[in-house]
Amino acid sequence: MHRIPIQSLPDVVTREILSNMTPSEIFLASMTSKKTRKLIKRNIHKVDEVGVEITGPFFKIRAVVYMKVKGKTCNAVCLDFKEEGNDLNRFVDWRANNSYQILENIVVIPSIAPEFWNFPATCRQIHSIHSYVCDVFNINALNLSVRFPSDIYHECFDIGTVKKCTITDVELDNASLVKLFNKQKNMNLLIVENTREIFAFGSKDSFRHVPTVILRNAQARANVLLTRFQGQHGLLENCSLSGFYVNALMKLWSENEMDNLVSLIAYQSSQRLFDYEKVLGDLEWYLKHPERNTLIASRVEKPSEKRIYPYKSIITQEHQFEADTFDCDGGYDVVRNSDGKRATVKISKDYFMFFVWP
Amino acid sequence: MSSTEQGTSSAAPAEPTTAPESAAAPEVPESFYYVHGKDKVVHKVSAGALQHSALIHGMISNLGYTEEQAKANPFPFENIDGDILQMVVDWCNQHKGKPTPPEDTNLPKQKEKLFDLVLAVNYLEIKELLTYCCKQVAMMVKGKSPEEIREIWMIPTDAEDEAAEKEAKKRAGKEAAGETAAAAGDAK
Repeated sequence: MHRIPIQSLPDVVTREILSNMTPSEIFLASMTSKKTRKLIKRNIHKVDEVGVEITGPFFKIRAVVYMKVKGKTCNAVCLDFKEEGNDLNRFVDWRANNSYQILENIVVIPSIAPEFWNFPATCRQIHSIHSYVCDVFNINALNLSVRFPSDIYHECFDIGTVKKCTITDVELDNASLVKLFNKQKNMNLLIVENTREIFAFGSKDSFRHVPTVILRNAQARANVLLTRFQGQHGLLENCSLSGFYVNALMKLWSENEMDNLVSLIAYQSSQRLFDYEKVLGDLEWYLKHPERNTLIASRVEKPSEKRIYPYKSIITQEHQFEADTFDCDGGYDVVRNSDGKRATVKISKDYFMFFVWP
Repeated sequence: MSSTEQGTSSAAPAEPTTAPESAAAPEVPESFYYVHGKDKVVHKVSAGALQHSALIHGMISNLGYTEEQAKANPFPFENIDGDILQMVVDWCNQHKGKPTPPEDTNLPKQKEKLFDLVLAVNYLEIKELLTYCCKQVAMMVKGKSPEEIREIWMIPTDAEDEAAEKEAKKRAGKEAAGETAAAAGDAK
């Protein structure tokens, strides 16, 4: 077998070698020695995020540690938990387990879960392997991202540790979601992916307090969120917007009811009609009748100067906006009477945007 | 000192036959340079082939050597073994004036020389060949367990690293003590 002393190579060469390796291979190489781990940490390419994805079925949990690099997601390593007997004290540390299975582009480490897999040992294993991978790839382990592509296994993470969570739209009415939010009050970003599955839309909005929310398939739920959102930034896609709820949002904001709101961007589904003319008509009417503005606790203006809204949400890391999205030229300004706070409204048959100026 | 003049005729790019004669630019005679490694065997290489090496390209770009001057002043690369330099020169000749395809079949095959080749290519700053060599090093550990990686990449265990560190500290302490004693002796 041909061999090569990797530790004797210059750093620039090590960097090039690492850039040709998959995250799983880098993970396995980091397990060879502490010195190699340091060498990898010194030369590893930039990773944007390290997270954990939990999949079922129940009592056979798989925790995959994945990473995002330049928008692409790659799996690095996973712990396969299997229930084994009633021995709650039996705990095998993943580091001590050498029976790795190396499947295509992922390392599988078999692990043992106690009878009730929400036993803290399972949780500890998941946090431990996530922290390890974060350390190797120089990512702050405190910014924990989790994904639940099937069911919501909120038991897998310690209280207050999850910062970003990705679920699917079919889970929005799942009772586990409420438990997840009760447990993870530090969560600052929720992404709800579009599964394209047919499901009944409920009106549960347990996520309305999360500071930043992205709904990829909002549909009629968008209207509920327009009037009940308590976070700062929202991005709603594939909506079924109604002019009634858009007007309601502006009224509530004018009356200081949605005081945390900074930006809300809602894109209408191409298959549904949006009665945006109703909102436009109201805005124009208030523009022409300033004496009636007091009735809506705000006044409407249409500034002529060119303005670009200074959008500073973490949503930009998850969504590529069109170049003119934040161009407020031609938008209507709603100025709150109580404190003079100004928000710009942009509306068309395809979207509704609401930007509160700093 | 012996000399090999290889790659100068076979690697010369073919002249386009379809171009109209009136549009053909006047032919500039190709310039050649000479390099040698640890074994002092001199290789004649065209300036075009040497463009792959950022290091040599930077050295020759402003020299303006005549053929005789270049022959009399071969670039010495004493830190590169002769056979490794030969491989590098062959590769540069084969890729003169063209980029490396993703699957390069004209690459050095001797895996046992990979370590020396990587160092030489890195020193000579031949980016495309370095990328290929690094891919080869990465491929060596594909599908291997940490234990196998340790063996292939000659990685000492933590215990071995600790023992080596202790030994190095001990040696450094002894040397420092020896120097102090010698200095005290000198002072007397």
